[in-house]
Parts: sequence; structure tokens; C-alpha cells
Amino acid sequence: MSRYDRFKALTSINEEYILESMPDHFNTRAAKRRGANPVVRFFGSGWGVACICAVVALTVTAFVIRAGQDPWTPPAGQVEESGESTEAVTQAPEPKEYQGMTADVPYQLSYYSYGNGTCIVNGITANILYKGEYTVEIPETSPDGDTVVGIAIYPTYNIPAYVTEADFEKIKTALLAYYENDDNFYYKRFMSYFQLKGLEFLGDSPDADEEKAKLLNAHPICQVTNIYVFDRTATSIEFARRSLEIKNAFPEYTAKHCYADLLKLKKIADKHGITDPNLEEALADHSDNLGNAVTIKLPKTLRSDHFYDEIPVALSIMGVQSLTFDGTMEEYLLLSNLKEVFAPLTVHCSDGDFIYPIRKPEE
Amino acid sequence: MNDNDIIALYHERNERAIVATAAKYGGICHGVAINILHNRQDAEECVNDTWIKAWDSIPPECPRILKAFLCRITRNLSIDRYRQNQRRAAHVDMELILDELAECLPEQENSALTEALNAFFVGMDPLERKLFLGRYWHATPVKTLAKMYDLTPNHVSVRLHRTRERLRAYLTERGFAI
Repeated sequence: MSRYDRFKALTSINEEYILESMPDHFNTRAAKRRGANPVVRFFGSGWGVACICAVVALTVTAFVIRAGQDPWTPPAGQVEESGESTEAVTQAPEPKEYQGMTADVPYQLSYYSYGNGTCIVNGITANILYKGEYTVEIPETSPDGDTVVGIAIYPTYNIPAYVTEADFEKIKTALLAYYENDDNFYYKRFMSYFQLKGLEFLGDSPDADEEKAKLLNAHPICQVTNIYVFDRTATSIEFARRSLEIKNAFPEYTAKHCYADLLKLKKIADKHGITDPNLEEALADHSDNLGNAVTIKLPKTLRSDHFYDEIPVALSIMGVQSLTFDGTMEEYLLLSNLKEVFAPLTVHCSDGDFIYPIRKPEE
Repeated sequence: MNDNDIIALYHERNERAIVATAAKYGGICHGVAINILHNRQDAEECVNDTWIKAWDSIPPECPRILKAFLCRITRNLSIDRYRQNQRRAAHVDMELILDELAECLPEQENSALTEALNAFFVGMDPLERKLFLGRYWHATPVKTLAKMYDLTPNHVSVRLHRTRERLRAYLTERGFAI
């Protein structure tokens, strides 16, 4: 077969794929994503010292609806003419914390509320940072009684608070090379707001101020701790793959420097007589990998229009082994609107389990 | 005029079918042809040949998706024309596409290969599938793809390379000799 026949061999593929890749079908999904609520783009979390231990963490965000407002609809006046929304990433959200939400669970679960005058969006964040066998349970309602309707996945590239300037440059350069300075990478928007949250365990005290001042003097770069990467066009699957690729790019860093950072943090905690369970756990189970036996429990209140069908695949790529859905298999299939998905992921439903790949029954 | 009406005209052997087809799909077929041939005149001829081929094929054929049906014809005619012209008008980008496809597709062409390709595309990330088919089905330049998807050309090239590698491994696993 000649080279020309190889070219012809592609001709007979499914017509849907031909249409999908035609110019007038180009970019429809990207356009849809660009128009999504900026809060969806702007989201990461920097809760506590536990976040500091991971270079790349998987953030599963559950969105809740309050007072009938749809968090996926962009508020009027916030989307720029180009379709890009930047307002949200320039403002630090005011997180609303609820005590006790993370008690006895090996992951960070927190709530936030973000409003810009025209829309209020609440979110639940589950940062999955540790290895082990455990279930991340997304509740059906927020503490305010709002209903959880959807989940999304965002990787956050959390650079340890005490990284040296040289190390920071090394990471930044690699990230920039990866994203090639394109518009999809908001590398300029380092969030100093979250950086100092690494010292939250010190509380508001003269000690805290002193330590913060010392750190800022000794490590000017620690004003830019967390890099939140928002890609306006990427799917959840791409997020997951990129996270793994970037993480794999820093094997030495995660193994050596990150642990050293945790030790430095512990030294400060010891000096002030503070015992922080998150820090202890991070040191005991320091890992830059996601747990390979993590299960995510989905609430029954999820809505299909807020649940991308690629989410199970992305979770699988990130190392999540199974999903638990508090409903029947049929309800899950309707929710996920799946046609065909290939991923080694088990879904536990109230009336039985199934394993991908699956095929949705013909409607 | 919708596709069913156009197909009905073909079945009635009404020559307005060709006028309607050209009006509705002339642009996209021309786009397919020009991407392969890089020659306006040759592309025009291929598009005109497409209408003749469609006229000869319908009936008995009754395409499910007329647009894809016509693009397939244009694509095949264009590659045949490119092959004829190759000695005098080889195009660097098209040569690159042909070489890259030789890396990942086997020599035999049969229904098993089509089936395997379809199965491979089902499991792909949609953006990667669009990039791959945009490049190797529609012969779209990398720079154009990059612009369409808000990516850099280098990013597109890397992703295409990875997809080719995966496709090669996938087909090799299934017994195709590459």
C-alpha cells in the first residue's frame, strides 16, 4: 500500500468524526468553556499546610446552587468582549470556612462563597493529597443548606512556601516551557493571598507576624507560593494528563525539596509549641502521588448538565479507583450522559456495581 | 434547502441537485481539496468532479450525512490528483502528512483497519481526535489548527506526535503490521 493509500485509509472512518473535525465545527466546546463562569476558571485552594506538601494536587470542586442562581452562567458584564474573563483571577475570593468539615478525613474539604455583586457562587473543595484507601465524600448540601449540583476537576500546582528563589525559577521555567507562554496559562497571576495561608496554623499572633516577616525577608519568592493554572480550552482529561506530566517533570523536586520544606515548617511549629495534625500527617505520609485507592462518593443531587461525561475518565487518569453514587445505576447513567467511556474505574451504585468501559443503553 | 431535499433531487435525477449541492457544500469541499492540493485550479476541478461522482453515486447510494459523504469523495479525488501531480507539484506539508501517516498506519487497507481506527477514535480525548483528524483527514496546516484551538503550533505538533505513537501501538497490538 502506498503512502497515498494510507491517506485514503482514513477516509472511511465514522462520519461523525469527520463532521466534528470540520472547520465549521471547530472550537465549539472551547468557545463554550471560554464563556463559562469565571469562578469556574478561578478556583484553587490553599488550605493549610497540608496543601504545601503536594506539587500537584487534584481538586474536585463541587458547585452548589444558591437561590436558584446557576454558577455556570457568566454574570452579566463580567465576560470581556474577547470571551476571556479576567476579573475573577485578579481578585482573591473570600472563603467561608466551616469548622469541623475536615475532621477525621484524610482529605481537605472546605467551602467557599464568592460573590461579585451580580452572582453568588458557593463551592465545596476536596483536595486529595494523600496516598491510602479512603473515600472522599461530597455532601448533598452545604452547611447553608444549598444543594450540590455538579463537580469539576482542577489541578493546582502548589509550590511549597519555603522554596528558594532558584528552585522557584526552575519550576516556573519548566511550567512556562510547558505552556509556552500561551494565553491559557495565567502564570502572571500568582496568588500571594494563598501563600501566607501556609502559616495559618500560627493564628493571629505576634509570633505569626514575626515568622511571616522573617519568611518574607529571607525568601522574597515566598510571596508567590501557589500557581493556579487555568486552561480555558482544556477538558478535565487534559487537566489530569497535564498534571501527571508536570508532576513527572519534577521527580527530584518532589522527593527532596518538598520534604525539606515540610521539615522547615515543622521546625517553626515546634518552636512555637504547636502540634498540627495536618503537618504531622503530611510528614508521615509524604507523597506527591494521589492515593491509588481513593473512592469519590458522589451525591445524588448532581445534575447532568453540571456533570461532564469526561470526569470519570479524568479521575481514573489521576489515580482514583472508584466512584460511589448514591443512586441507582440508571440514575447514574442518566446523570453522566455517557455514550462510551474507556477507563478502568468502578462505579458503585445502590443497585449494583459496574466497571468501565460501559455502553449506555440506547434511548 | 436541507440535505433530504437535495438527496431527493438526486433521486429524481434533477440537475438542480448539483446546483444546490455546490451552493451548500462548495466551500467546504473546496477547503478539503485546497488543503491537499495547494493549487486553486486543481482544487476547483476536484470539486467539480465531486459533483459528478455524487451524481453517479446517488442513487443507488443514499448518504446518511451528505456533507461527510461529499467531503469523502473530494478527499479521495484530491489525493488521486495529488499523486498524479506529485512529480511536478509536491507540497512540503502534504508530503509531511503522508510521511507521518506512514509511521502509524499499516500497509493493508481493509474493513478491519477501518473498524480498528473507529474503535481507537472512540476512546480518544475529543480535542485530540479533532486535532488528529483535522491534520490527517482534512490536511489542515498545523498553524491553522493551533489558531482554531487556541494552542501553539508546537503544542499541536507534540499532541499529534503522541497520538501517532498511540495509534501505532494500538494497531500493532491488534496484529496490524506497521
